[in-house]
Amino acid sequence: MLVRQEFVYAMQRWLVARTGRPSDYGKHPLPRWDTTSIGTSYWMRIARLCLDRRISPRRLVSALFQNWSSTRQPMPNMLLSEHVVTAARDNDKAAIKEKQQELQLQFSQLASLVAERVRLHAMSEYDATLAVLRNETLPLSALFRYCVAVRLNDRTIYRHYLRTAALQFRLNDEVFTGAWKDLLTADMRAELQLQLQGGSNG
Amino acid sequence: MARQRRETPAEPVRQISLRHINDLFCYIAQCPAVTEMAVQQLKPEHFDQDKEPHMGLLWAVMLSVWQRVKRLPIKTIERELCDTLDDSGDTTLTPRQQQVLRDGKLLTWIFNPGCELDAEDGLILLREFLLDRAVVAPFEHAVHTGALRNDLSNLLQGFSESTERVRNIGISSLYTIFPEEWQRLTRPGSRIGVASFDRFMTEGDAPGEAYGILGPTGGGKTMSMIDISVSRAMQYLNTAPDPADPRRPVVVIASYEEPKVQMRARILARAAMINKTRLEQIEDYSALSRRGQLCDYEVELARQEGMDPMNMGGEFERLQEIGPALAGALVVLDMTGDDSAKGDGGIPELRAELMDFERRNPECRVGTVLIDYAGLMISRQLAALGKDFSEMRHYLRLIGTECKTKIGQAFNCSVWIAHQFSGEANKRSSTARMHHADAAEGKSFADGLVYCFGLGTPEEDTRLTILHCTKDRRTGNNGKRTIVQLDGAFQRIKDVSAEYCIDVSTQRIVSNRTASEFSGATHARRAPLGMMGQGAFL
Repeated sequence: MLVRQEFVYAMQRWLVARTGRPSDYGKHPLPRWDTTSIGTSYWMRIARLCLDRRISPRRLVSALFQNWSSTRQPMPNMLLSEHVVTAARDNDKAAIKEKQQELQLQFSQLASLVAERVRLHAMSEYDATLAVLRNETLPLSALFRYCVAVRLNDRTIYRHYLRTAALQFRLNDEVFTGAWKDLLTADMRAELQLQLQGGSNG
Repeated sequence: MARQRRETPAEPVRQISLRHINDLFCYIAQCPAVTEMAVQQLKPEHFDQDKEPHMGLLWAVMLSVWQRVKRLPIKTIERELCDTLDDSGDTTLTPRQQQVLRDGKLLTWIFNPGCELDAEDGLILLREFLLDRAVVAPFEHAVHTGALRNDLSNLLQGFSESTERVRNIGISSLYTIFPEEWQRLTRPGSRIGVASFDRFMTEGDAPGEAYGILGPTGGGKTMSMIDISVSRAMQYLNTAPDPADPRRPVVVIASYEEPKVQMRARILARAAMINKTRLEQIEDYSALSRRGQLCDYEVELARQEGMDPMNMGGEFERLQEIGPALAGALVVLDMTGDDSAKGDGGIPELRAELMDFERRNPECRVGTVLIDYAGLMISRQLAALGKDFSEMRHYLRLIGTECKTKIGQAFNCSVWIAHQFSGEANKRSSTARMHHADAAEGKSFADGLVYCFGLGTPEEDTRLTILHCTKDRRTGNNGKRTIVQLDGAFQRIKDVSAEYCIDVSTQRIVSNRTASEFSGATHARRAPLGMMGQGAFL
């Protein structure tokens, strides 16, 4: 279950940061949380809350852990508290803003790198843009390269980055959809989702 | 009945005439604000004894009346003026001047000019008059008589004090917090084009502001400066001129550490993507590689960008493409003192150099100034002044504000200041937290800066380190960090936060792949790094 997986990953990170040793938390069943003698398990209740309040489980879990200052371990039932839900909603807004800034940063980087190449190699802006997109040592994300390559209609480059871009998109699909809506069209989103479902590299 | 407003020149008065002096007396008689300022600053001896002695006499009488009754009644002034003329039998006045004072027409006009007067215009006129008579005229006199040569320092000090007293007349520092028309807060910033800094400075740098970069010894301070300067210069080259100021913006690097020859090699290495070692070793341009005969590193560069190595320009061609254009957008001020006595005057000297640059190149304006580095600039200034080095911290505390006001706002440019970390901070590991309070010789280096960055100690083998944003007045990125790599070959600060993370167990910077191999799950070993923790570039 996605909620449990997210909580386990977050708890492992928290334990590693606290103890400095790798953790196997969640590798074995968690008696109190995975099974219940009365009605629905906590994971199901949290999943229902995520659906009702339209919050991604990852955001909910990260909202709990990022404000956790106690030395004791956080517990899954805390995800149901109202202040964690509010923090998660605020985090969503912050994440969208962050991704928007990241997009602007990558556009400005692209413009800067392209301008340098135009002057240095006396090439056209189009060729310089493709050269920048091909150069994997430059600090541009695969998703961004994919989007620009699709816009430039360069099949070789966008197919090259398709798989990685799909993985990046999946990690934060809701945030990317909101923040990159001008660049990431519905067709692109559909292709990225299809790529992961199909598991093919084309 | 509303009186017509008097028309006064909006431009500062360059040549003071008798008409201006008559106007000035009108303002003094009519506007209390001008009267208050005039009785403090204006003296009878400020009037020319050859051309306008009668006005000096009139002012002496008005001043004496003011000191007694704290106002300027026309009848009293008229009576005392006649008495003075009768008693003194002053022979310095011509019959015409005596008549002007006696017949009362001048006084009547001064006290009833027949139009509305604005005190602000009067203060400007008073300021211009005093600048001419209390500052410029005595200076010219001192030059002509040779007094300046005999007692230069004291006279200059006196002139400086007179100027300070006079130049703020009519300029108020008090402003209402509720203006009739709202003035929009504008900040015309733009990204600098270096990803690792732009990541924090989402609005870029802006004219009139100062920014700081701290780094350990040999830890990328100059490299950051070069990366920023070249990137900014390229932007200037590709930007259309501003219609409001068509002068071409230029980046100026004031180098107090490295002489111009070394700076030149480093700048061209970054701009033309030529290995710095190659540039340092060649005797002349003929030793550079040409198209079709690329060096190994150039073939690799071509391969990375999918270019045909046979078609890519060599070092020589790249230098020819970028060199002349860049020379018009980026200049180096050699303040090392190697071939001149420059570099020991601190900020006033740098300001004078920039003014000189703009005067010699009227088609250019200073767009960005980079100072490499503050500690050296101040220590040389202190040595030249014969002051103790323990005073350095006071100079360092003020450097941000001084650079902002005296360079940034004066030239409408942005200012970047590099400085070193303390010896203790130099010994820390690459992943240790750095702060601007760890600056060498002064904990208050970041005062007056809008952003301050700190570079960690680079790892010896990989040259990887952390760039810390230690001060951010705009976007709240204080304390956030990113991983960078110092690329000495091409003088770049590479943003590698997508490829590396900090291993929490060893507190070392490791590649994401290495972290995954050891832990089985990358996310499990990554330390939270502020914005880096989100994997901004993944």
